[in-house]
Amino acid sequence: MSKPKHIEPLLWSLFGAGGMTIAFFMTGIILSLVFFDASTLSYERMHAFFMESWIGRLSIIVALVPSYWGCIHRVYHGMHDLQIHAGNGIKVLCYGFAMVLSIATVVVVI
Amino acid sequence: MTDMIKTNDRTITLEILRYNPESDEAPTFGTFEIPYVEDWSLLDALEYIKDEMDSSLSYRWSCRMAVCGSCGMVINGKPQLGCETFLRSYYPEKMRIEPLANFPIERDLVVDSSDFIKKLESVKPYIIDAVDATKAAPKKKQPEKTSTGVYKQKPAELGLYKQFSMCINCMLCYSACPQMGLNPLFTGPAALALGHRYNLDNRDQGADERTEVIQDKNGVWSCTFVGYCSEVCPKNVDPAAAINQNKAQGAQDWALSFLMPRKGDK
Amino acid sequence: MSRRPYVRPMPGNWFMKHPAYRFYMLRESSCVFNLLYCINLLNGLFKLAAGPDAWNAWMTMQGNPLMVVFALVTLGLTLIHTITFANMAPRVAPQQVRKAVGDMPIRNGLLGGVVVVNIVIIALAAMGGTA
Ligand code: SF4
Repeated sequence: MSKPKHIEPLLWSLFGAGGMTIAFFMTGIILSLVFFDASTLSYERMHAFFMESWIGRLSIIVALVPSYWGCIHRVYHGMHDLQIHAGNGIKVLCYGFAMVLSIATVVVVI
Repeated sequence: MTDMIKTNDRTITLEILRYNPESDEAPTFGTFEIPYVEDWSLLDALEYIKDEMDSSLSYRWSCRMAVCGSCGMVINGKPQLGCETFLRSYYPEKMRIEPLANFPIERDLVVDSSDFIKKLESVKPYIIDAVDATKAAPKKKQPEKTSTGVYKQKPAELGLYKQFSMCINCMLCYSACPQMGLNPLFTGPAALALGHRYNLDNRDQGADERTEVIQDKNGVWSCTFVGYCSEVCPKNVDPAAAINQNKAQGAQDWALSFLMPRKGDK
Repeated sequence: MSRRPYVRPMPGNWFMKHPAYRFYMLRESSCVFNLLYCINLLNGLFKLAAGPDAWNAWMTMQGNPLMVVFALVTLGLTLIHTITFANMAPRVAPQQVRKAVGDMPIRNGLLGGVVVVNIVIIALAAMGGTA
């Protein structure tokens, strides 16, 4: 066990977690939003779940935060695939954006 | 063989990428129309061309039975062994034959594999036992030795790494891997799978010595699990699995190095 | 005999040149759509926090035909992601675990979990309709 000189293992773990959360949550969320309108997904009910209940707040954080990191990790590596040679600036920008989205998500539900 | 050719007037067209370093600026395709013989492998066809049509055609081959790993080439876009590829799978369409991608072309279908050999060596593909290991005391339990000094290994212990030990160094996986083309410094599928093979061997204590290469940016972290390497592998080595198991291991070690920084420092 | 190895450049459109690479790119492209969709969801959370009018306007936007098309494309790519993810997952698992459990049970267990969780989500969402 030696100390790696880069944080790719951490970013990869987040990417794996994001792959998992997208698989586990996104299909249901997308289908619900396509099929149900505001009469079913009413403001009162949604607010009570996602903004007031612990379980609702926790689940949306769990569903979204790793997903941001997973997607952005793949976007960043996708640039390499497209032979766009992103420097460290772009890298910081990418993962910084994931950080901003994560903080925004936590802040808005709490 | 000549009898077979005489009684048969069907032909098949082979387009072969030719490159002569002494006269050509860049490789170009040469076209050969050869007799179509149903049981010919591509290697038989190349042999026919070399004997009867153009003796300058260069290609590597040896065993003709998918063991030596010499005759890897790209056939209609897919990296394959010439000896395992049959004309009848393509006839009456033409076949387009190129040297393995992601390697410099030495001449015609012969590529320069010296970089691949260096990468294979870099993962220390041999058993490093506790006596040889330069790092601290063995983490794994040493298997028992016989009176003649040979390690005993149970079938299950062999089974753990067997798949990753089947590699014949044909380099098809390197040709299949786009990350190899995008980053030539990538250690690559076969070499990383081979390192993994020794790490999984219970006689081996050398995992620490391989970490630097395997966990490097140009090691497993250059892989994006395209997965095509495992699809083209003629020996079902599944190098993509070997690489990604090492990413998971690397992520775990990374986390542990935070929880137990003392242990992480070596 | 002089050596002059010829290095072929990586074509800029390498990912169009082979079915395996095209599928890889399709699989990876899901991340762009999923990211945009997640941002859409985050926006929805902000609207939910802002009040009933903002929420209802956001919900109306989700019904916009363009939005529905975007959602369905995202859905299709999400399914590709889910299946390829489940196919790859056992191969990332430690070799010891793979040998003990086998690849198919890991893959099927994961997919089964995915199906159950997504059905629960849709069922929870639908509950408001009957209540
Ligand atoms: S891993 Fe498979 S494809 Fe790659 S060199 Fe070994 S045998 Fe050939």
